[in-house]
Amino acid sequence: MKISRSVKNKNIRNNVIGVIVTLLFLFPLFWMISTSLKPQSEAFATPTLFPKHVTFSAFVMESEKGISMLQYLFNSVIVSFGSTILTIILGVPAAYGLARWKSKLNSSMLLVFLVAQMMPSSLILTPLFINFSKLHLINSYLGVILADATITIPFSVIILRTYFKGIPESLAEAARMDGCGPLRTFLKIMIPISYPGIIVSASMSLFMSWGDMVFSLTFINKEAMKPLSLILYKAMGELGVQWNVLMAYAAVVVIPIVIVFIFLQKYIVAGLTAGSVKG
Amino acid sequence: MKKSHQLYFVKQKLTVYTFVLPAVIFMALMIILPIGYNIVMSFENVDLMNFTSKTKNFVGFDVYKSILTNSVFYIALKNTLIFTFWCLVFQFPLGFAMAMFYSLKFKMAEFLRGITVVAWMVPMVAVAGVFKYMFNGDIGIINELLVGLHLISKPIQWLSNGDTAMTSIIIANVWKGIPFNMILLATALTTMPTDVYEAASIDGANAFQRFTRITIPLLKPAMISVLTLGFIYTFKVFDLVYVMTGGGPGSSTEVLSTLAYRYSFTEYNFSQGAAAANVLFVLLSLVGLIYIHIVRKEEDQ
Amino acid sequence: MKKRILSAAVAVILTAAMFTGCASSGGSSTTTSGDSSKPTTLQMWYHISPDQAKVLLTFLDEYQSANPNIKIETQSVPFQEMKKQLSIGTAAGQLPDLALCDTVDNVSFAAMGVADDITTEVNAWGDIDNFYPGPKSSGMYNDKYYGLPFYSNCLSIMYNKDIFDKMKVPYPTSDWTWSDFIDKVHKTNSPDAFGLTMCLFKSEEGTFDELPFFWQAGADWNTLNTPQAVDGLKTINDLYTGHYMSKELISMTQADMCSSLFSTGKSAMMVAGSWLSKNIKNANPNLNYAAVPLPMVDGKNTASPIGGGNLMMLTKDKKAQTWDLMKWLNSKDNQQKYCEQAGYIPPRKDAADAGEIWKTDPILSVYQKSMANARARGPHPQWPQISSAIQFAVQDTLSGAKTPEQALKSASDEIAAIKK
Repeated sequence: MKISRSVKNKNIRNNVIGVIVTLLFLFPLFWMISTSLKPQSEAFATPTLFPKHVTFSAFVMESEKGISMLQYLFNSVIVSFGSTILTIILGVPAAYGLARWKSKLNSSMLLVFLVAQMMPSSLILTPLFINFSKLHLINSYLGVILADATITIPFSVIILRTYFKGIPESLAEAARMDGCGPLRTFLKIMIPISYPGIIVSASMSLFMSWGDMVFSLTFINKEAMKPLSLILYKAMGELGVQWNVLMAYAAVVVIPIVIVFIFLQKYIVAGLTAGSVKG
Repeated sequence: MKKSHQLYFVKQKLTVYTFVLPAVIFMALMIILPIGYNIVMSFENVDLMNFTSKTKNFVGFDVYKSILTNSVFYIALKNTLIFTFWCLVFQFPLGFAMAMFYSLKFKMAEFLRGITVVAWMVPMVAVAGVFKYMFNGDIGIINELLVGLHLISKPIQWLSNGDTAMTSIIIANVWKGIPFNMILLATALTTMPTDVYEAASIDGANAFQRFTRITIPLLKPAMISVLTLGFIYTFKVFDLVYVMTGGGPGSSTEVLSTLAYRYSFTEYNFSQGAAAANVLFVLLSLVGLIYIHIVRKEEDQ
Repeated sequence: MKKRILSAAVAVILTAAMFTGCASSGGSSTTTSGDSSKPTTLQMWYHISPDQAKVLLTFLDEYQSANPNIKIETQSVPFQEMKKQLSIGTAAGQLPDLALCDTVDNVSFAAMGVADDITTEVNAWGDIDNFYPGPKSSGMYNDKYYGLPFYSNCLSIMYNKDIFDKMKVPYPTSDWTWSDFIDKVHKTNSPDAFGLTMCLFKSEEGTFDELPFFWQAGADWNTLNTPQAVDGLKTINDLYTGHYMSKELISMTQADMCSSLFSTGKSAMMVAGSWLSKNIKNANPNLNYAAVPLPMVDGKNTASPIGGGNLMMLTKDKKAQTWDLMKWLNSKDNQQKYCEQAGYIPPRKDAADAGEIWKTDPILSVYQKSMANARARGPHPQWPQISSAIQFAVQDTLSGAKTPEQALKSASDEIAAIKK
C-alpha cells in the first residue's frame, strides 16, 4: 500500500518534471511561432511571450515574381519524396545485402557508406555541379534529389543494416527450406518484417532532404523550382531584420515536418528504440 | 543435398552483389569521384585566372603549404575543435540524462520523448534562423530573460563578440544534438538485460552504484558509437555556422568547412578550398577509423 | 489494417510525386535551346533585392512585348551567392546569356574569361562616351570592354534632422571635416539613438562602407601596412567600441541596418548608398532626414566609392540578341527611368542631366554631385580576395580578437601574396 503510493507519487513527479523539461526544451519552436503571429512593431519591441495582437500578415509572402508559397511547398515535397524513394530503392536492398553476408569485399563496400557519411556536403559542390551540368541536371528536381540522396542513403544503409542483422538467421533459413530464393526471401519475408525500420529510415530521409539548403542553393536557380528551405535562407538575406516575417518563413518550413512527425511518431520512435540505430 | 546447399550460397552471393552494388556505384559516383576531384585540384593551382582554361599546373604540395602557413587555418582548426568539444560535453550528458529519465517508464515518458525528437528534425537553416533571432543583442529574448532574472545587468551582444558568438552557435547546435544523443542512447538502454539490475538490487547496490557499475559498462559500446557519430556530425558543421554567423565576427567562428567554402566561393581560390576540404576530410577519417573499428567489431560478434 | 492504409497512402503519394517530379524537370530543360521558328530565350541572372528587382522586371516585360520573338527568363540569385554561382557555372559551362553583377566584380569576371569581350559592339554603338569615367572604367579590363554599367551609386552621410534638433547640434554642411563628423557623432549619441550607423558586415557591402575611412586617412587597399591605415581603422574602431554604433552592425547588411536603425529613428547618422532612400520611404515615409557628402580632407570631400551594377554578356551563341537587350536597357531613356524608379544614379551623364529628380530631389542631388568625385574600389582582378582581407581586418579589430596593427599586418601580408 505504502509502496504503491510512493510509486504513484514518483510517477506524478516524473510526469511533471517531464512536461516542464519538454516545454523548456521546445521553447525555441514556440518562440518562432509566437513571433510569426506578431505584427512588425511588436517583433521589434520588448518581447512578450504571446502576441498582443495576433496577425497572420507575416504569412502573406510573395516573391517579386508572384510565386506562391504553395509552389515552394510543392517543390519541397517533390524533392524530399523523390530522394526518399531513391533512398528506399537503393538503400534497403544494400542494407540487407551488407547485413546478410560477410566478406572482405562486403566490408569494404560498407566503408564506402561510412566514408560518404563523413564528407561534409558543402565540399563536393563544385565537382557535383560540373557533373550535373554535363548531365543537364542543373535546375531540375532530379539533380537535387540525387544530391540529397548522397546524405540519406548512407544514413539509411547504416541504420537498416543493424536492423536486418537483428532478424534471426533462422527465418531466412526457414524460407530457404520452403524453396524461397534470396530475392523472394527478401521481398516476401525480410521487407514485411523490417517494416518499422524502413519507416524510420524513410521518414528520416524525408526530413533530411526537406531541410537541405546547400544543394538546392547551388543546383536550383529557377525561382519557381526552389524549395521552402532555400526560400527561408534567401529571405534571411533579403528581409534581414523583419523577424516576424522570417519566423513565419521558418514556421512554414518546420510545421509540415512536425505534422508528419506527429502522424508517424509511433512508428519512428518505436523503430528507433527497437534497436535500429546502434551506430 | 550438400551440392544444392552450396549452389544456394553461390546464388545468394550473386544476389547479394545485385543488392548492394547499385547503391555502392551510386555513392562512388556521387561522393568518391568528387573526393578524387578535390584531391587532384589541391595539387594544381586552380584559381580565378585559370579556372576555365585548360592550363593548370601541377604544383605539388604548394597549396597545402600556403594554407598551412596561414594563421587562419589554425584559427579555424582551433574553433572547430572548441566547437566540437563543447557541443559533445553538453549534448552527450544531457541527452544521456534525458534518455535515462524517459526510461523510467512513467505514463507520459514515451510521448514526451517523442516530441523532444522533433528538435532533431528541424532543418538546420531554421534552427540557425530562430537562434539568431533569440540571440539578437538588441531585441533577443535571451537577453530579455537574463536581464529580467538579474543574471546580467546589461544586454550581451551575443553574435557581435567572438567568444559569445561561439557560445551562441554551440548552444544552437547542442539544442539540435540533445535529441539525437537521447534517442540513440535510449535505444541502447532498452536492450539492456533487466535481470542484472534485479540481481544488483538484491545485492544491495544503490542507484548510483548500479549506474556506474552496470549501466555504464554495459552501455560502453553504444556510448562510444554515439560519441564518434556525434563527433563526425559536429566536426563537419556547415549550415549552422554559415547561416548564423558566417564565420564571423572576423574569423572568430570560422570552422574548417566554412573556411574551405570561403576559399572556393568568395575568394575563388579553388585549390585552397579543395586542400582545406581534404584536410578536414583526413581529420574526420581519423576519427572515422574508430567508428569503423566499432562497426567491424560488432560485425565479428 | 491501419498499417495497410498508411502504406497504401504513402505509396500513392510517392508515385504521384515521382511522376510530377519527372514531368516538370523534363519540361524545364527543353525550353532553353534556341530554334528559328520559336522565340529565342535569353537567360538573365540578377542579384538586386526585391524592391529594385520589381522595377527591372517591368522593363523586361516591356522589352518582351516590343520584341515578341524574344523570351527572357530571369533568375534571382542572392547577392552573396552571385560570385559562387557564376564561378561554378563557368566551370560547368552553364551560364546565363546575361548577368547583372556588382560593379566591383566585373573586372574579376573579365580576367576569369567569364564575361564576353564586347569592345566591338560598344565601339559600334557610339554611346559609351556619355558614361561617367568612373563607372565606365569598372567594365574595362586591359583596355577592352567586358560590361556596361546599368546603374550607379556612391556613399554619402544621411542624417536624421529631428535627432540633430533634439540634441541641439547644428546640421552638417558639405564643407564639414572629419573632426566635425566625429564631433557630431559624439554629440548626437544618446541612450535613445546611436550617433552613427554604417555597414560592418563581412561582405563586399562592408568593404564599400569602410573604404572611405581608410581613404580619408590617406591609405588604400595596397597600403594597409602604413600608420595611415591604422589611423583609418582606429577611427571606425573608436566609434564602434565607444558605443556610438550598434554592436549588431557587424552582422547586418545595409538594408538591415537601414530598416532597423535609421528608418526607425534609432540612429542620428548613417553611411549610406542612395538606394537606401527608397527603403526609408517605404518603411517610414515620415522620417525627417537629409544627406550630406562625406567629410572633407584638405579642403576636398573624401572620395566616395563607386557602387552599382554592371550588365555582363556571358552568352555563347546569342550575342546579337543579348547585345540588343543590353543596349536597350542602357539607352539614355531607359537607364534614366530605371535609376529614377529604383533610387540610383545613372552611370550615363546624359541620362543624369535629363532627369529632374537628380537636381531637385534633396537626397539624390547630393549623390549625383558626389559621383563626379567618386572613386573605384581596386580595381583589381582579384578584388574579392583583397576585399575579404579588409573585411577580416576590420571585424577582427572590432570584435577584439586583434589590435588594429595586428589585423592590418595580416591583411597586408595576405594582399601582398595575392599581388605577386
